[in-house]
Amino acid sequence: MPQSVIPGPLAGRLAPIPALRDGFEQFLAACFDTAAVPAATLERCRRLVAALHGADPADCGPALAELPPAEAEALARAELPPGLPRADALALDIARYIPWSHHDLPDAPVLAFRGEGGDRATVTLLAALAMFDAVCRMTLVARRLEGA
Amino acid sequence: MSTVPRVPSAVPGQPPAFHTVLAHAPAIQQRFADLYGAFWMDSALSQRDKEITRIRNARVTACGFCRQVRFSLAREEGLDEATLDLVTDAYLDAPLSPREKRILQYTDAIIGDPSRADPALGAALRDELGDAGLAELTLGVGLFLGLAKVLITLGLEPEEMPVTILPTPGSSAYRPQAAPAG
Repeated sequence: MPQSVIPGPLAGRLAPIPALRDGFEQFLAACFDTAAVPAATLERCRRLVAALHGADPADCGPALAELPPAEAEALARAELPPGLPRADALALDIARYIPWSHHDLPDAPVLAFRGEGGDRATVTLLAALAMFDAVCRMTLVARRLEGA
Repeated sequence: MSTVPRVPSAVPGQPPAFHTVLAHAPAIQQRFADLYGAFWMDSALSQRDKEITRIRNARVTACGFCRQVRFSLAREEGLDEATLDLVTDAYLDAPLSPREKRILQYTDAIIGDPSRADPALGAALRDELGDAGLAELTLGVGLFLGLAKVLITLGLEPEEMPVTILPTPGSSAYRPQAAPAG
């Protein structure tokens, strides 16, 4: 059975609406499309969004790739690891605006990422980032209210 | 904020808009449309409750498009502009029902600082809405927030837009091709 893309505490909160939970699962799986954006790129973004929330990466969605430990540690400190491919550095530059300052995101990194990856990758990246953020927030609240 | 689309339309002859830009990723577009329609047609929460929640998210996230849209079924239930005008940062002092205020507090807990979510609020809402209602509220806030941020970061914010009533997603009058995130 494939692993759920919805973190456990949130899946529990959504259990009373199974049809909508399944639809959400399918929507998230489409957003986390590693055929459109490389798995390692999305994984770096997931970890950065989690760090910006002070959360465990598992709270923000499924693990999509393994990263070198030093890189994961840098991302856990919300730092950008050195030596990344240009598209990944651009994706992380975009990602750092999403949780708390989405209106401040300038055109430049989005247009540059589009130049690197194309339209489909850009739409998928922005959808994935927004849903990493949303899932993280939903999970953190579900966990805080668990047992309430 | 950008009001200049950062990705062009994927539909020849049509301008960049939420559905034409999202069409670059057809699986996202289709699964979102299916989910959003099912969400709005589910009855664990009333149309009024969902619309008040959506408008609160639109105003806090400053989604210029979302905050100008109104969905038709909530209108038909009697949700008017005077009531929506109460959904401001001062809603706790507004003549909304205690249930509506708690729904807005829960919305704020997700879209604001999740670490400030009050467990007592969850208990009260579970009593009032039931487990299915609280689940649907959680899903709705996440979808409203996520899709507002997608719309904003794609540069699809309108420079100006009047209040516009659209068919509720999933309703008989709804046409997915014309559907925005709201």
